[in-house]
Amino acid sequence: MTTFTLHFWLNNQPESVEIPLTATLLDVLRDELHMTGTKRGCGIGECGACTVLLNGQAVNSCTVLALQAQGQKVETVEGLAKGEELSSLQQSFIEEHAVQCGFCTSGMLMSATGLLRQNPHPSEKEIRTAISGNLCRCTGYMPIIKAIEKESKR
Amino acid sequence: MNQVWIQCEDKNSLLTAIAEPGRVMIAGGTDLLINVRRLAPADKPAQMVDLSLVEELKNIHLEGNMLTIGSMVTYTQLMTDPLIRKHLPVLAEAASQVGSPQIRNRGTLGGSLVNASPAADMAPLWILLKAQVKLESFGKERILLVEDFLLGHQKTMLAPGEVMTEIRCLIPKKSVIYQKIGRRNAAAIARLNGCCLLDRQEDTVKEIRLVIGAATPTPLDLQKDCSGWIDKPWTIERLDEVASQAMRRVEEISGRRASATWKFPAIENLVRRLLLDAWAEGGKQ
Ligand SMILES: Cc1cc2nc3c(=O)[nH]c(=O)nc-3n(C[C@H](O)[C@H](O)[C@H](O)COP(=O)(O)OP(=O)(O)OC[C@H]3O[C@@H](n4cnc5c(N)ncnc54)[C@H](O)[C@@H]3O)c2cc1C
Ligand code: FES
Ligand code: FES
Repeated sequence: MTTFTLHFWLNNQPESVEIPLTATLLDVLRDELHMTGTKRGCGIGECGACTVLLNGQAVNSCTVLALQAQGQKVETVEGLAKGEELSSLQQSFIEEHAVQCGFCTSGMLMSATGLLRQNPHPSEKEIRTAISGNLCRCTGYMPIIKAIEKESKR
Repeated sequence: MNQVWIQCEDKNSLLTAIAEPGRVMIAGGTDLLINVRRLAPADKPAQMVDLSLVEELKNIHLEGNMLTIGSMVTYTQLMTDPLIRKHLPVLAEAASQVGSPQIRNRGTLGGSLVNASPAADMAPLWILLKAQVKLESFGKERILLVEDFLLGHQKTMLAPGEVMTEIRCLIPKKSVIYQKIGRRNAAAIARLNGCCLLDRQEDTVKEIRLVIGAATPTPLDLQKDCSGWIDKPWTIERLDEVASQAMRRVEEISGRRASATWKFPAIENLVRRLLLDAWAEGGKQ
């Protein structure tokens, strides 16, 4: 099978990987690079579990062709903590009980990270909009919204 | 077939790349990759051309009254563009209701038109605005009305070797009303949507345009059905007449389908709401 070389910035580190033409960014992160923090839910852009930042913007990695990330900056949940030390957004999620089964959490964290970077003091409505593409079956969303609000006030 | 991946950075190299038969273009990928996922490995595209780095296709500009929007403009860009927000805010409003933030960050206007889903959100607006698309191929270009470009469910006039480069329209004199009925706010493709523009002097209708989307394979243009209104006063009977005419037109084209039990009353209500709001708007100076 023909493969193509993808060079890109993954969590600020240069990364190179040989991939098939039609691989999605999600396929490459999970199956080639074994970065399994990014979750595969629906695979069709509906659930947001696979959310990563591409050049700072939240995208569903299941609907991005991996080769389109050539030379671009990708950030995943693995890039949030510094070693063993959680980021303060991650800490807020824990404090506000915004994590139950955890399946949506990486996607939620990435949508929130994208939002807070562009808009450090969002309104509740802006927070709701920013996570409107991320489904959560457990928390009822309020703890997640509270966690993001808390982080925006730190 | 030899596998090929080409990333073009300008329009000329793009036109050369797509002149070869069998090349599949990818913009945001939000429609394409979902289709590709369903294909057997042997049927997946073997030669792909990436549009995402062609900066020339991401511009929005206004010349006189003519708005030109690059085909690679995303919903997010449309929502936040100062020119759009000032001169044709309904485009920003409709874009803000598409999918989810993740989809709006990736999905493009050109991709939506070429994908030609009957449920695409922006399509009724393009028809109402009498927007045109520019299709370019190596050494050639042509301009079509969106109305003529869209042929049916995932069918368009795009020919092999052609790329859509621009969408353009005139800024209308009156504001346009847009409404969408979806399943839930994010990630819901419209179940029904529509837009309306109404110009009036006092109680007399001067111009009226009304387009309903997602009920028929291509948006349903009801401008002719409203023409009895021109230079006549606004009456509630006429409103009822247009609303039931809209249902009849949908039935003629799409037949009575499974969704009909809720769709027909919903169409009637949507038409009423659009007309009432556009009437209020049309009185403003
Ligand atoms: C979860 C989800 C929710 C969605 N919600 C909505 C919604 O609410 N409303 C809505 O309207 N849509 C919605 N969509 C559909 C989709 O996001 C849009 O149709 C999008 O605009 C497609 O653009 P793209 O750039 O992603 O196209 P792509 O997937 O890259 O391309 C689509 C097709 O167009 C061709 N193409 C792309 N650009 C060009 C060009 N410039 N010239 C020639 N051919 C071209 C490609 O070859 C391909 O065949 C949703 C999709 C998903 C997955
Ligand atoms: S897995 Fe990508 S949106 Fe659900
Ligand atoms: S915590 Fe279980 S899906 Fe959100």
